[in-house]
Order: sequence, then structure tokens, then C-alpha cells
Amino acid sequence: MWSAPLTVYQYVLLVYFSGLNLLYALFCCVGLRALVIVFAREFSQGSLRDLLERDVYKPVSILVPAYDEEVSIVGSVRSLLALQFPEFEVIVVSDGSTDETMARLIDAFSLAEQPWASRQDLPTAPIRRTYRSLTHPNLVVVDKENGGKADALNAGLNLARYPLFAAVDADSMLDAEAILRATRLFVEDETLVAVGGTIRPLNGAVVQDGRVTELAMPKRWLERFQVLEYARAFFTGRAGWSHFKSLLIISGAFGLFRRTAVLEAGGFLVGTVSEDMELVVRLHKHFLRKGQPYNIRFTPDPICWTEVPTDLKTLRRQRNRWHRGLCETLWKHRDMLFNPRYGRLGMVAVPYFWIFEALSPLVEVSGYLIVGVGAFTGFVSPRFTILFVLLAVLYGMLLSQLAAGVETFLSTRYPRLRDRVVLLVAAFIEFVGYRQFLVLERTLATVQVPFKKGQWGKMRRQGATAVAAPETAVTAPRP
Amino acid sequence: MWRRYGDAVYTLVTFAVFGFETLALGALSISFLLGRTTGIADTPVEGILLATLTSTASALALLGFFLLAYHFTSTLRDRWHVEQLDTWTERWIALALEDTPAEQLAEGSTRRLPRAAVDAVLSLLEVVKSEEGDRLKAVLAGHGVDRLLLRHVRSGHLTARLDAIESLGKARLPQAFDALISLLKHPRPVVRRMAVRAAAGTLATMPPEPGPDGPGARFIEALKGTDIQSGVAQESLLLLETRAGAVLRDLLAQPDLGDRLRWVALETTGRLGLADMAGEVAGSTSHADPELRAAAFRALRRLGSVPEEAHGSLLEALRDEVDFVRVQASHAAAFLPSEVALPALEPGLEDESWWVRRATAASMARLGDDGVAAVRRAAETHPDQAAREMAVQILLEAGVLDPAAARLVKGVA
Repeated sequence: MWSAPLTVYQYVLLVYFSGLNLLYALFCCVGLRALVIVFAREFSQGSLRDLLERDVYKPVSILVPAYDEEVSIVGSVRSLLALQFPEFEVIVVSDGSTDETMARLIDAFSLAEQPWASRQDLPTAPIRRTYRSLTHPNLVVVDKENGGKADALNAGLNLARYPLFAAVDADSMLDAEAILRATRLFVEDETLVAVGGTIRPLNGAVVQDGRVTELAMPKRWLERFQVLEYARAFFTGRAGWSHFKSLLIISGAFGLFRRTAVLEAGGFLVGTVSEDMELVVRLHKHFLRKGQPYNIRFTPDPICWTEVPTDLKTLRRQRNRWHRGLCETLWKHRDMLFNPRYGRLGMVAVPYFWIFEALSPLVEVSGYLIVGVGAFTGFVSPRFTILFVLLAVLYGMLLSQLAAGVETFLSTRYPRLRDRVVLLVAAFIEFVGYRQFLVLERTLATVQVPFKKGQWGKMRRQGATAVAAPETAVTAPRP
Repeated sequence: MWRRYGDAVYTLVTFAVFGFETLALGALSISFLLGRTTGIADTPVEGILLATLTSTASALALLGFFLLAYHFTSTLRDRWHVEQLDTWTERWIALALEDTPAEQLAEGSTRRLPRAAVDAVLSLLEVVKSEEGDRLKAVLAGHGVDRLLLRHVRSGHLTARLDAIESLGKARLPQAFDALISLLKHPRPVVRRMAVRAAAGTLATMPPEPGPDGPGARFIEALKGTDIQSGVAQESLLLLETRAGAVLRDLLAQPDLGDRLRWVALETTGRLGLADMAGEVAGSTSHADPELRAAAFRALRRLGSVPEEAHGSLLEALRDEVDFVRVQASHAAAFLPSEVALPALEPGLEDESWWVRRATAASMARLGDDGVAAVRRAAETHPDQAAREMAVQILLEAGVLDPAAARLVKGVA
């Protein structure tokens, strides 16, 4: 009786597996050719120097939402103030912090309270005080009542003076040239409304004066697996989607936006755990509905460093939040699914995210069950089962290696040959427990979507960007 | 930021691996479907699965080997290249300063210069100009580097083409100018962008040659006929350095100049601070396109002067229906005589746009003691709270008011 449905389901699984992996492969090829080869040549050091010397840049407001970031905030702000860019302001928004975040900022940057005639383009929770630094004229600090990360970003946006703004997490660190490289794209393309940069794990690196001075592979396998995950996400996935003008995610850790476009679309959505993805999807929707030419891009160049979770509990919470955020956003914009009005976004990108991202944990769990049951009942031969599982593992390793391979071409790559071997081994070991662990958490998150709407959860960090390094509570970016 | 060798090979490896994997997975899916749903018992599903598995394992081994080998060799190569660059840079410097005869330069090497030698001289040529630069260029040409680069510019390989354009941009060889501007019609945007930058850099070093057939005129014609973004066109004009003034003057005088390029010319004139071109800019202050009106006022603000013929259009623009025109006009009004500017600016303090209020107050504060006094008066007594707040903020930013005093200003604290 169950033979026919099981056969069909097995076939669906096979096609699902083949389709997903071939899409990844396509993105990998496209990413390499369209982005790395071109970017490596067009955005050379010489051309960047020309840009600076001749004042061809657009000034940027850097928005840093902070909630209870006493450990890392001073180091982060210092690294931002040291960026190589001629005209920018840093706006730190303390979102009702309950720790010493404000006190540390006031002390470190000689902040003086001053009234501020800001625009009220976007409604936000009340602002308590606005401060300006006496030592750094381009630093503004806002102390406001708690309203969430999106609300803090909106408050910063109300104060931003420049045509472009960068949303940067308070626990992340930007490469010295990151803003310059990202703004260059806005100079070249008037239709560009947002650019997402590459995020790389900071764990294992040596940081001095807010800069990564030496890169080394983290010691724990848990962190090494995440190095691979970030490489897969940024060097293949985002690059591919960007090439097809269907990029749906710009990491909250670092993205550069055209201020007027974001204001036109209504700013960041308050009450979601995925304000970064939600904004990007809304920007697409907004401009497609208006019929106005626009572009949203990923660039492999501007690099932001972030500390990835070092323990399973934090990792679980992070992935749970990411997956809920993805589901929340897709559900909120469900009218885009297979809607030809939204072009390739509605017909390809959004369906992909529904089928291969949001529903993937359910498919994967059911796949494990079916193959297990099939093998146990004799419906599927054990030999076939083993071969198929092995194929899935090898194919996954192949994709991981291709993504990690792109990293080899970066001048700031993991320098030791041993690190490259570790990445090869990590691509194999991650299939033994790590992936299944994450699949289970994402399955749980799928079920929790209606019950935990907008809940972030505490994150435990080591504080690599900080002056000192005790425990802190921060939110981690989505890769 | 990125290593530029091996990436094309890596892309090829990726294509090859996944081309084969696509076939294998496709065959597996079809054979599975045939075997299971049509009941064809002897479909070789397991055989195909095994073959797919073997090919994937082989691909993984190949890729792993490639990456390890690349990592190892590129580490050695990078180190060696840096050493070579240092050595060659020293030789080129000696040559540029005429300490070494050109024929001794490539001593011990073949007539064709090694890669490190070319890289070193190209880096030098970015900073060394005039006679020393010409001497280096002559040696490059003597070794056939110009011909090699020009051949690569026409290459079918994107990487080779982009590398050659970049090198020509650094070398600024006059003999490459026409080849570069011909690339402005290339279908690939990245080629057009890099070519226009390289052509502009080259033109900057070429001797002036007025007339319709001169390089400046040819550059303008190429710009008019190409599809590049305004930002890139602007960057190319800025790269013209000392030649920029003449080219911009010719460009603005073109009767058939499109709005986009006119906007670029106005922006560039302002950015370069070509004060003697204020008259040319003034002509666009009453243009029908608000973007162009705003660009003209922005340029005048940067030039630091508003010619008399533009006074009328500026005063009119302070009441323009488009807010960004009012913003730029308000900024430019700081260069009008204060007795004309102050009464015209003051209504802008209660403009509905925050940006106009800010530009107005900032301009007023720049109009000397009278202007600062007017802003201070607005901060204390203006009936509109938004105007008072903006006046206070501008006074704070100008350092005229300290934060403690600002809090005491009625209605703002």
C-alpha cells in the first residue's frame, strides 16, 4: 500500500537533492566568473586611490545599533572611526541598554550632551538624549528607549546626514577599505539602492587597534564548520543571486544602503528578527511595484569580520532565530510567491527560498526517516542507501571546497597550508552530527515561527573586538 | 585584495566538475524514475549511482589537490614576486634618473621583460611623470610591452583584456589612446568602465592638440557615444587632471550635449573648483531640468562664486517647487552679497523640508557677522520651533554656541 507514495517521495527527494546541488553549483560558477574575476581587476588599489584623490565618493553615515554592548562597543567604534574614508559619520544608537554601554562611550569619546534638530522621517521609541563627541567630530551617540534593533536603526536613519548609510553590528569590525569599496559601486550605478558585503568569521584572528593583523584557523571544530558555512553563503550563494539580480539577503552585520530609497520603502520593520532580509525583500517589492529601475548587489570585496558562536547553545539560538526570521519574512511577503508581477524574483528567488531554504529542514528530516525506514523494511536496498548517503556527503564536501577555494584567492586568506587541510577535513566532519544538529534546530524553529515572533534570544560572545574580553550579550549576524 | 592568477583556471575546473556532475545526477534521476515508476527491473540505478559517486570523489580529490597546490605555489610565488618587484623597481628608478643606460636594464634576461619588471615600471609610471616618465615609456616600447598590451586588449579572454586595460591605464601610453577609446563601445560594461578611466589617464599626459581631430575632441565624442554611468563619466573627467578644464569647457559648449553628460560636466567643474568656469556653469542655473539646475547651483557653491548673470535665477530658485533645487540654491546663496542674500534666505528657515531649513541656516551663518546675528536672532525669537531648533544646531556646529548655552535657548532644550 505504501510502496507507490514512498517511491514518489523518494523520487521527489532525489530531484530535490539534485536540483539544490546543481543550483549551488551554478551559483558557484557564476559567482567566480562574474564577481571575483571582474572585481579583482576593476577594483584595484590604484583605482581606489584615484577615487580618493579625486573626491569621487559618496559620504556615508554608519549606523551602529547597540544593546548592552559594554564589552565590545568602545573597540568597535574605535575601529569604525579609523576607517580609510574621507567623509563619514558614525551614529551609535544605544537601544535602551541596561549595562554600562552609555557610560563607556561617554568616557571613551568625551561625549557632551547636546540638543539635536533631527528629522522625524520614521517613527521610533522616544530619544532620551543625543551626544556629540568632543574628540571625534564625526561621532554622534543617541541614547533612546528600547524598541529593538530595527527601531534603533530607524532612529539612526532619522539623524543620518549623508546620502548613503551603512548598517553595522556593534560587535563587528570592518576592513579599513570596506566602505570605500562598497561606495564605489554607488558611484558607478545610480540605480543601486543596496549593497551587501562579505562577512568572515573573526574567531582565531589576531586583532590590533580594531584591525585584523593576522588570520588563523579557529581551534574548535564548531568554529571551523562555521568558517565553511560563511564561505558557502557568501562566496557562492550571494554572488550567484546577485548576478541574477535576485539577491534577497544582505547581512545585518554590514550592508550599505541609499538613504532615500530606504526611507521611501518605510525604513526597517520593527518587531521582526530578520529586519535585514525583510528590508531587502521590501525594497525589491517597492521598486518592482513602482516599475522604477533599481539594483541590489552583493560584492565579494568589502569585508566585515564578526565573531561566530563558540558554544552549541549560542549557535542553536542563533540558527533558530535566523530560520524564524527567514520564515517570518517569507510569510509576510507570501504574495510574491510565484507571482509573475515580481519577475524572476517572484518566479525563481522567492520560490527557491521557500522550497530550498525555509522547508529544507523538514525535507531533510523526512529524507533521513524515509531512507532509514526504507532500508529497515527492505523497500530500499541497504547498499543503495549507503551509496546515496555517501554521494550526498561527497557532493556537500565538493560544494564546501569550491566555496572555501574562493577564499584562497583573497590576499587575506588563511595563510598556512595546514589551515587549507583543516578546511578539507572540516567539510567531511561537518556531516557527522553538526549538520544534523542544525537541521533539527531549524526544524524546531519552523514549528516555533508562530509562537516566538520577534524574539531574539541572548547570544554569548567572547568579545574579540573588545578591549577586554569577558562575556557579553549581543546579536549575531546572519551569513 | 584578490590574487589575480589561477582564478580563470579555477573557474574552468569548477565548470568542468559541475558540468560532469550535472550529467551524472541527471542520469541518476532518470534511471531511478524508470526503474521505480515504470517497473523496468533492469535499470542500472545502482551502477549509475556508483559511477556518480566515483566521479564526485574524483572531482573532490582533483579540487582538493588543486587548492592545496595553489595555496602552496601561490605562497612561494607571492614571496618571490615581491622580491623581484623590489629589485626591478630599483633598476627602473636608476634608469629614470639616467644613472643606468637603457640597454643594461634587462641584463641577464631575455629581450622580453619579465612580469615583475613590467609590474614594477607600471607602478612607477603612476607616480613618475614628465621626462623621467617618458624615458621609462620609451624603454617599455623598446621591449614591445606596448604592442603586447594592445594585443591583449583585443583578447577574447576577459581576464587578459581587463589586465591589459589596467596596465595601459597605468602606463598612459599615447599610442594606446585610440585603442582605449574604441573600447567605449564594447558590449561589456566593465570593459567600458575600465577603458574610459584608462583613456582619461592617458589623455591627461598627452600634449594639447586643439581642433576637432585632437585627442580631447575624440575623447568627448567617445564619451557622448558611450553608455556609461554618470559616476564613471565623472571619474574619467576628474582623471584628466590639468587637461580637465579645457575638455569641460568644450564639453559644456557642445550644442548637442545630453542632459546626463551636462550634469556630469557641471558636477566635475564644481569638484575641480575651476573658478574661471563660473560663467559657463551659470548658463545652466535656469535649465528646465531640476537635476541640472541643482547641479549648477551645487557647482557654483563649490566654485565659491555666483556670477551676476545668475543672481536672478538663484533668487528665483530659493522658491523653486523642487526641494533639492531649493537646498542647492540656499547653499549657493552664501556667495551673494549679504544684503541681497539674507532677506531672500530667511523665509527658508521655516521651509517644510528639513534639508532646506538646514541649508538656509548654514548659508546665513556663512554670511559674516550679519548672518550669524540673524541666525542667533532666529534661534531665540523665531516663531517657528523647527526654525529655532535648526538655528541652534547650526550655531552649535559653527562653534558659536556651546551645548550648555544651547539648552537654555527657549523652546529647544
